[in-house]
This record gives sequence, C-alpha cells and structure tokens, in this order.
Amino acid sequence: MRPFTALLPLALLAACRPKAEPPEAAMTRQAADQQAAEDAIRPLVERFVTHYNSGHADSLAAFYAPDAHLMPSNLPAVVGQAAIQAAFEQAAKSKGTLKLVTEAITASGDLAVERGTYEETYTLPGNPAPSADRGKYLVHWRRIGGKWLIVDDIANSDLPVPAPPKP
Amino acid sequence: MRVGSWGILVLSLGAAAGCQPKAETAEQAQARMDTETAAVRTVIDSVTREFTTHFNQGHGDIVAGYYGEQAHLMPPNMPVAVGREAIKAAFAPFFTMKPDLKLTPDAVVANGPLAIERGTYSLTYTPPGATAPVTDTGKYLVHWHLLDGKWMLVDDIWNSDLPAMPMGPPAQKP
Repeated sequence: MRPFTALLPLALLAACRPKAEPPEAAMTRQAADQQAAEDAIRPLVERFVTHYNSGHADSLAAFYAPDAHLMPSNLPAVVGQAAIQAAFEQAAKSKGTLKLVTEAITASGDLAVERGTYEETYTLPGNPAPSADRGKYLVHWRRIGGKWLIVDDIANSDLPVPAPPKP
Repeated sequence: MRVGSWGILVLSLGAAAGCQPKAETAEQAQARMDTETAAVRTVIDSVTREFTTHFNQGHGDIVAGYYGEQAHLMPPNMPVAVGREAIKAAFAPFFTMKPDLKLTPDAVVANGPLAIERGTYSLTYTPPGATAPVTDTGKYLVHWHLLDGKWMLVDDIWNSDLPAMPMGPPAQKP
C-alpha cells in the first residue's frame, strides 16, 4: 500500500496543473462575461448622458479610470480624471443635449469595448443659434475593483468640416 | 510513521480540493492578461508595420484585408464604412495624395480574443492642387479581435489633434 499512497498526491497534483480551458467551457464563460458586461455598461451609459445634459462635470469624471484618456476631435488628448473634469466643465458652457446609441458591446473578462453613435445639439457662448453634430465613438471599458470604468474614450463627427469663409 | 500517512492523506485532500474549477483570483487574471497582452503586442507591432508600408504604397486590397469582414472604419468628418469593400473605398482618396502614415501604438491590452490598442498617428499628404505636403497628427483607438486564429481590426477610429481644416487645396489668396 505504501508506494500507492505515496503516488496518490503526485497524481492529484499533476491533475491540478494549469491546462487549457475546453472550448465549450470557454464559450460558456465568454457568453456570461458578455451578458454581465452589457448589463453593467448599458445603465452606466444612460447615467452618463443624464449627467452630461445636466452639466455635472464632477460626476462625469468619476466614470473614468484615474489614468483615462479622453480623446476629443481637434484637440490634444485629455489624460486623467482631473483634466477630464476640467474638459467637461468647459464643455458644459455650451449647454449640450447629448444622445448616445450603443450599437455594440464586446467583452472578455474585465475588458470591454463599446461602439456607438452620438447626436448633440449645443449653443456656443456668444452664438445665439444652436449647432447640431452627429458622429460615432469607441470606448474602452475596464472592470477595476468590480467597477466598470472608462479607460479610453474617442469620438469624431460624421459631418464635413465647414468650408473656410471666402476671402 | 502514522503521522506521515496522515500527512499524505491531508495533502491528497488538499490537492483534490484545489482541482475543483473555480474563478480566477484578481491576481491570476492580471497575470494571464499580462501574458496575453505581451503576446498580442508583438502581433500588433508587426501588423502595424505591414499596414503602414502597404498604406503608403496605396495597396487598398491588402490594407482592407487587415480588417474583419464586418469591421467598422470610423474616419473623421465622414460616415462610418462597414466591411472591407467600403473600407477600401474610404481609404482610396488618401492613396492619391502621396501619403506618409506613421502609427505609434502607445498602449495595448488583451483578454482572450479581445484586444484594444491606443496610439498616435502622423499623416503627411499632398492635397489635390497643393504644391507642398501638409502633416496631420492625432490619436486613434482600435478594437482587435482574434477571428479564425488571426488578429484583425474590428473597429478603427481616430481624430486629429489640430484645429479642424477642410481637406483640399488651401484657399487661394486673391
């Protein structure tokens, strides 16, 4: 009996070595990851829009990871929560009304990417007439400490750049 | 040696318990993502070099071939282009303007079949009618996906760091 009992723990330890996940298990896990990410992120997008339309720059900054990159068109990247809050404070002056449509969320574990479209009407300070813009965006979400946060946020307009005034 | 036998028994039970499938700890998940990210980073660096070479030579079919079949290309001031044919058509105007594209991947993160790359670009081109080239600089975000064993671009979006300028010849001075 001795040799057999001595080998038993070795056999069990061998079975414990990290091994590749079977394809079915991986598919089940990925489907669960996908659903969990969608269930978590969609309400966050709704809350984001509510805060944006109310001009709550501090609440908006809290959606972002501490070292997040906000990448607006025709401006350099804005890095970090404090700088992002300042950018939203600036944006709030044009009293925008934003609509976001999430078209796709793709998740794997703690990583997710959201693609969507936006529409915004806003009034630039000193300009009596409102302007309208529409375009597309891509957001990199990351679950950090159980909470989904924005790590990268980039958008651009579908509209052509207006021609410069004739000389 | 009775104590020794108990030791073996406890060890066996402990090992058996350790074999039950359980969720990764945060540390294990991070370690796995770090390994996957390093591997994907190598692939992305290599594909990015090939991509820019073909882009600068105007090889539209090859450039479009780096994208997934249902990929979304999201250029500034243009509507989204979905699928390889539309992506090739969206890039076509750039190919006639002697492009010199440089891409710098700044951050890559991967988890299983999903990877996200953030970077910066510089694009020098000569607009139609212009005598001198102009240079645009900006930032981009790419969603990569492992499709049939190959890392492909699935979503690609960028925008300029510079103030908005209509593409085309500079305004003629009277």
